[in-house]
Amino acid sequence: MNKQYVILIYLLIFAVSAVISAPAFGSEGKNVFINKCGSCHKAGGEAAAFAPTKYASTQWERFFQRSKHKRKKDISAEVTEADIAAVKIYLINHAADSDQPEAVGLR
Amino acid sequence: MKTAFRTSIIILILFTFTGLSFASGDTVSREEFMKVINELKTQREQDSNTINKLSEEIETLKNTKKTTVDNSDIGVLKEDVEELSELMMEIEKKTLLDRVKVTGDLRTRMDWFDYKDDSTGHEEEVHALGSTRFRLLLKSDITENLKFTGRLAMHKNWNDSNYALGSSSFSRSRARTDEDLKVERAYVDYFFSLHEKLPMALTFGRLPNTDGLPTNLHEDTPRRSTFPGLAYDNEGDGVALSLNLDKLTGLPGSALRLLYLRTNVDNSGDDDTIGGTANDDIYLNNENHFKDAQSFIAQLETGFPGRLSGTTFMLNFLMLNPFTNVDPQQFEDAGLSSPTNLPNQLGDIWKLTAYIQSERFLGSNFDWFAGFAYMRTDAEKFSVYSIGTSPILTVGLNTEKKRKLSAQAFHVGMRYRIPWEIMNNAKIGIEYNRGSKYWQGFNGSSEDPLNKLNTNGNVWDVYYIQPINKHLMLRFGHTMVRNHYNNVPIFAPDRVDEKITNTYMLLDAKFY
Repeated sequence: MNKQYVILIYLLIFAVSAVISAPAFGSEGKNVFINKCGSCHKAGGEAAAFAPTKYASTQWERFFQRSKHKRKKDISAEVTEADIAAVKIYLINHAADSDQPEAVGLR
Repeated sequence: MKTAFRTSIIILILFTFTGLSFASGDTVSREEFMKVINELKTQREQDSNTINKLSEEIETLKNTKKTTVDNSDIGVLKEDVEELSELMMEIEKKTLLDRVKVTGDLRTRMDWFDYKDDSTGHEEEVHALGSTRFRLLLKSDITENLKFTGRLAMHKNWNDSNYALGSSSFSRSRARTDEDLKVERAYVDYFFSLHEKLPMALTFGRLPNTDGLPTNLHEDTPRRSTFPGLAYDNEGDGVALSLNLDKLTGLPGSALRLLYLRTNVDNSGDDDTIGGTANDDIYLNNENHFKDAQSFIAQLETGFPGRLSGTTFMLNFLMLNPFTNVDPQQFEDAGLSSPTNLPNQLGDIWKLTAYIQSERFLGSNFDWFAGFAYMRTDAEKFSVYSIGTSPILTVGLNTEKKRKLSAQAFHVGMRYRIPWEIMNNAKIGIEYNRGSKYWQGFNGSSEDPLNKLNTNGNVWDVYYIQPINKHLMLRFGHTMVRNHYNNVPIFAPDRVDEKITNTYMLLDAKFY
């Protein structure tokens, strides 16, 4: 068999096994944002829907540093410290001043 | 007063007790009487203590310093609020007047190139070639529905201010030429909807058609192009219409994008006579002797929900109609004899590309992509190019004396995010692409110095990304090209056996 296709097959096997076994890195924040934050922050929900671009990254840092969410509602019973840390990374990485994708007609 | 009142109560109780005992006819013993007296005395003492304690507390409260807000404090607060309000107004005004957000990036790169033609034994090398790329990125949310995006770029080899690479208008800002800042993209998106379920966008200007996917993986940036690189990667001016199909399909990021790009008529010859065919009274460009050429591109794309979020699929159809018209003048300009029986129009090209890319596939640390493209050329006719009576090459759009030809290419790869915090989110990637004999990449704007997606052969590409911090990144890479054909669009392919390698390291600083 062509050596190049053999290499490709080995890489594919490695990739599949890594997908199955390796823990995710950095995707938890998005899941927390969609599932936990999104359970209240949605149209017609308990709080207004928002996107990570609502604030710049520095503003998100300050939001979490000063625990500003507690002023409106204490959600420590619903979200863990790990959830908060993960969603903080996600919001900062997708903040208003973060790098955004470009293509025709892409909002 | 209180003491007298208490004493009278005690006496009243005594008389009442005594009276009741006489009325009942019972007599009270002396011991019982004394017991009651003692209980009353104890109660009296307790009451006395309570009264003393309450008195002390009242005194303490009386002596506590009063904190009252007087008028002078309110005045100071009012002044502070007014000062803050004025500052906020200034900041708001500045924000409103700052219509364009300007950021940028700077790249320094060092390349080592090696070339060998196994059929002839010819070898070349260029080692330690430094280059600098500087870009200004412009963005403006003009209104909620009007957005501007632009990118100016300068790209040059170190200390070489006029290295001419024969750059065309499809790659002026991407080729390493000089210190001039050129406009790579400058376009406006206007978002509107004719129906609530079908938001649309009209885009015009110099469109974002460069840095085709998966360039975003090895550049470690978000998506920067409308298209996969395998489909199209050229600077270009035109108009586009996008239809957002999210609400119709239920699939996030689904859209239909339609683009029209055009190269306008050039002067052919210097015929300036009345009734002649030249247009130099209206359009004075007389450089490349190309005639009208237009491109139509349609792309259907979609994301996926749930566990497959981060995955994008694109189906791209490209048609060049015609590919180009040939002007004999360009042969004369090159010092060659004109071909005999030169076709007036070379023909049409169409290409269909299917591409899929997934980042953090199924929530893992893997990103991967796969693309396949099929291309057909339909030559109008062909002619034999000759010097004198000796035939040299066949001219007519990839032709070897055949009208219709097909070509294929595929491009696959993956990138792995190393999950060790100490590595600071480092990534390693590998890519492979293969193009067939008649394959044309249409990726003249690729910043890859080997333009690997245009290869008529095989290419392996490996790279390692080491972020230093959020704004600084190192990348090392090695590309190996094995070229089996030397394919120029208007000539029949020549058989070659070329090996080209490029090893590089680069340092990127991003000011955003």
